[in-house]
Amino acid sequence: MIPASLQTTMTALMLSLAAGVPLLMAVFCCTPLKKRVIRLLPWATVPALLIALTVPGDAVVEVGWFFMGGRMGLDATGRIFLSLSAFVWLLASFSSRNLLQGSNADGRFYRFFLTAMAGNFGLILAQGMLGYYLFFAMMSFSAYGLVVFKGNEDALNAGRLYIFLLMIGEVALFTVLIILAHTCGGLALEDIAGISYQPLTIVLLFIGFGVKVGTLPLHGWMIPAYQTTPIPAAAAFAGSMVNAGILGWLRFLPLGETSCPQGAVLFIVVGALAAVYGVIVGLKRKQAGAVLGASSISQMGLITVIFGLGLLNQDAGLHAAPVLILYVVHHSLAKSSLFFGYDLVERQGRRLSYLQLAAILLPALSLAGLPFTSGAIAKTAFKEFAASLGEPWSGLSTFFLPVTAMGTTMLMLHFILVIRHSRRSDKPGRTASQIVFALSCIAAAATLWLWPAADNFASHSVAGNKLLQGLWTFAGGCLLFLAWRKISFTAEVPADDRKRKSDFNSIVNTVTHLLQEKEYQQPLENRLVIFLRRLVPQLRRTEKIMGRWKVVGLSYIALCLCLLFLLL
Amino acid sequence: MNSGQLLLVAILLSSFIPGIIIFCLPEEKHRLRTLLNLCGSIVKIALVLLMNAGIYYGYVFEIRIPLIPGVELLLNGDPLSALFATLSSVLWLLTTIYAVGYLEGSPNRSHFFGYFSLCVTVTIGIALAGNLVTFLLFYEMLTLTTYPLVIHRGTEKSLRAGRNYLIYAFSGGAVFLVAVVWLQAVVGPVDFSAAGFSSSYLDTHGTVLALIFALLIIGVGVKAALVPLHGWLPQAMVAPAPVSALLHAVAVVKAGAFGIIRIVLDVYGAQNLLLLGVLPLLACIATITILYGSVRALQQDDLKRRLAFSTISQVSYIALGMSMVDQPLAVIGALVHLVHQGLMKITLFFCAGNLAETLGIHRISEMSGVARRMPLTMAAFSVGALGMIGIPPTVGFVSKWYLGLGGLAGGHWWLLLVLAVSSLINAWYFLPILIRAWFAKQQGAWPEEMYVGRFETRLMLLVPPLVTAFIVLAAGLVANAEISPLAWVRFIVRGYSL
Repeated sequence: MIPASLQTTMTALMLSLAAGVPLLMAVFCCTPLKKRVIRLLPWATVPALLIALTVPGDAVVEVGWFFMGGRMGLDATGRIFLSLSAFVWLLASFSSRNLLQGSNADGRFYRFFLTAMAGNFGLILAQGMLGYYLFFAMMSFSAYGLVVFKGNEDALNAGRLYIFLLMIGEVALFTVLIILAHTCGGLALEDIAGISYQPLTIVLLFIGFGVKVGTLPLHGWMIPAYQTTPIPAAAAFAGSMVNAGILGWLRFLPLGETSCPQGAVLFIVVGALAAVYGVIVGLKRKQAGAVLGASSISQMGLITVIFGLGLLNQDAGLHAAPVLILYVVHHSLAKSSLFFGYDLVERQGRRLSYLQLAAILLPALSLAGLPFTSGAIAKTAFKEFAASLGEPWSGLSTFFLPVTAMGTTMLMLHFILVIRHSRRSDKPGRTASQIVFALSCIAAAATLWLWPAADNFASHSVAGNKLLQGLWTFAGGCLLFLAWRKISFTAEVPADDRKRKSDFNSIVNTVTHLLQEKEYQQPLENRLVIFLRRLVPQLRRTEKIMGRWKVVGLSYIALCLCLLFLLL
Repeated sequence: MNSGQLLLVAILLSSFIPGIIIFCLPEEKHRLRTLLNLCGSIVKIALVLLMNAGIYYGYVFEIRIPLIPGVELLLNGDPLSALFATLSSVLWLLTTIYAVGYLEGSPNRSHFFGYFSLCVTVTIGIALAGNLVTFLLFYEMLTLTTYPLVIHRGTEKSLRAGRNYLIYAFSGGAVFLVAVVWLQAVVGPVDFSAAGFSSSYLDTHGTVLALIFALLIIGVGVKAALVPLHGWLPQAMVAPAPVSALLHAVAVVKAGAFGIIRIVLDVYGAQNLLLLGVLPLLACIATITILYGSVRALQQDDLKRRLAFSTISQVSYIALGMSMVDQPLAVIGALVHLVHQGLMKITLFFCAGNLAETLGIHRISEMSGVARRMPLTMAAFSVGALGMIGIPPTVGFVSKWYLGLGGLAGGHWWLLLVLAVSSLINAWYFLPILIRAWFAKQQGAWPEEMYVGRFETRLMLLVPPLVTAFIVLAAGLVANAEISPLAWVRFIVRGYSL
């Protein structure tokens, strides 16, 4: 029989390994041992994975001396987030292990990578407000090093934007933590349950974690950062680190215990706007990372909507929590596998094979909610949840969700086109990259089907009318995409005809111009000159539309094959 | 003389005697001088720790020497003096090591280290002062002992800065003297241990006491660099880096802030001040100073000037916390910031000195890519800077946390706004330095590279900032442990039963 105190110490020790091991490895990255540490990179995630799988439920330990009263533990939500994060980080560390060769491999990238990882695991295990804040800050500030790692002008600009918004979030969080500590009279996350929130508290929490989630108008960092961060690290960003914002909301505004209709409206409205905005912005982007960033803004917007719906009342909150988690898992796995696919394209020095194309279509169309994918399950869950709320929110499931699904379909098709044409170079680590991509695709495809809590939604998603609806939405998205391609290309051809033909396009332009971060906009005059100069090659490219048609057709066939495969 | 009194005398003498001997030593005996300095400061730390243990277990340390009827010299070791004495003696040791490395081979070192030791003696005297008269005495002596250090370089610029410092400090001292005498005339002698004079005086002398409070705050406000009395501090940054560290973190500015704490907690007492209604005034001055200092810091390209304005802003957190003296949490925040600000600022000044001594870098615009050349120095600098912004787990976060909690407990919502804005501006003027140092590419050669060797700079310059940066992190991480500054401050505040 093990004494209780020893058991507590053991659990505390075990839990602290999740953040401790990556942190220790980061320290060793500063020593001459760094080459060895880099080779062992994936092992940094192993303690977290083991904890997620083995530590018994609801273990909370107090470490009184640590940072004004440390509390660590693993609850049901934490377990899901930890498994998810550990998995994504595992894949990311596999594929970034040989990312840098020669002079670049000075350990600096890996230091930031490992500290961000430690922060990410730590915040999931934190059961105290200050612990959460500590690890959240650790993760966010280390991630800055990943964003600016490339060191070029773009990266530094992206970093500037990132750190600016990060600081706003940090200060908002600091303020709201003081308010919460004052109202709750304690620092444990449990103490938050059942308090009444003032509007200011909700707004500050929205800002504090919203920066990480990339919610409007705090989304500015997301697109440039995803564009400049080395791709495996971007995968960890999109698949794991942004979830820290969602988890923050879940921790500090516990669903099912909080009811705050006004705050709910804020979340719903802003989330819905972000869902649409992401699509509009993404379609204008020509770089795969940027398109994925825009898609993240849109998808995180949807998650924000779910969270907002859960804040409406306590009953809604109880139903929202599982749906939210389902959606987060789906989005993280799909988005990170898209990044891993993009990484593979960048590394292999030639076009994607058809098999690879089919594989990358899987997570892409899963995000779009194509039937039989995990996205369909997540979206079914969302729809059924929204429908259960009654008017006016049930309107979301009949109108808003199909529209965003169509938008995402467009965005994902756009991503596929972009990735087909992106700059390629032969870099090391192709095999590792292939394995990682395959694993991530399998995870993205299979996880929700095997998810015990998603059983109902999974079976509903393949029921007759849902299936049909899903297919219609998808077809609608494809058609819209083709239409958009046509408009946007004809729009850019003859200068005289522009006014007449490109109303839609100019709206898009204006909207993106208004909402976009200023630093990335060249002055309008410059843009005009550049545009005129590009007209000639643009004409030539228009002739190639047919070629692209072929691409679209091929992806369509690949999709059908996928479908067939899944049906069997 | 009992053992407690002996200990107090020994604490003062442990730096006084080495100081006097060093004055008499010939310039070239630098080994003996260093040995004396180090022995003195290590002995002092040991003695101060001994006193702390005694204070913790309730032992009384007190020396009373009557000067004239009604006026006596009083040295008293209470928990608050222990806090300041420990801070000063620990940082003195580190600063001495740093100064030995910094001034290697420069002229007039006997002179410098002599005054350096006297300065610390006087600072400990301020910490141990048991009434206002004793405090005043040491406070004036501090001006005299730091002046030679400020003008140590002897250049036109440093002489001008020194002159300015004297003018500011002595006018402040004069105001302080008037206030002390006036207060003595109204309420009689007040020992710090009494925690405030009797509130019966408020009925008869309310207005006069409010006026005296204002004069006292002006008197110590000069050294605490409250706006608009801060003008001397940015100019004084022409002094060598160890002196800046001393001015900003160990002695002078700290003595001013400590004076504010003594006046609020021990001379007037929380209840009297609440009844007088003068605290909002203090809060107002502190807020203006915090914001003004931060904004001015933003505009500086000279690294040490930026740090100087940052000090002006940061030290006012202490005044801000004291303005909410009825809230124990705010008082904890203020007192613990006395220690925390010292640790963070001394780290930053050490690092600034390293950059100047090793590569000749004085301006922020010259710092591009310097972290590749001096990674350890810049790592320490980063810890200090992140601490100033208040990023967890550094000690800066702990101070701000308690200030914020205390403010909210007292219903001062505006305080959260002040903290938020000041954190943002702090980030605005510290993060670009870090980004430039770590992520920008080096532009051309360093202005004046003076040291090439095994380490990035001389070891005596490198170790002190690393130690203080480590403490900045560690004291934040174990803030709840029994050995942290926070624990001691809680012990102090428990004694005041606020």
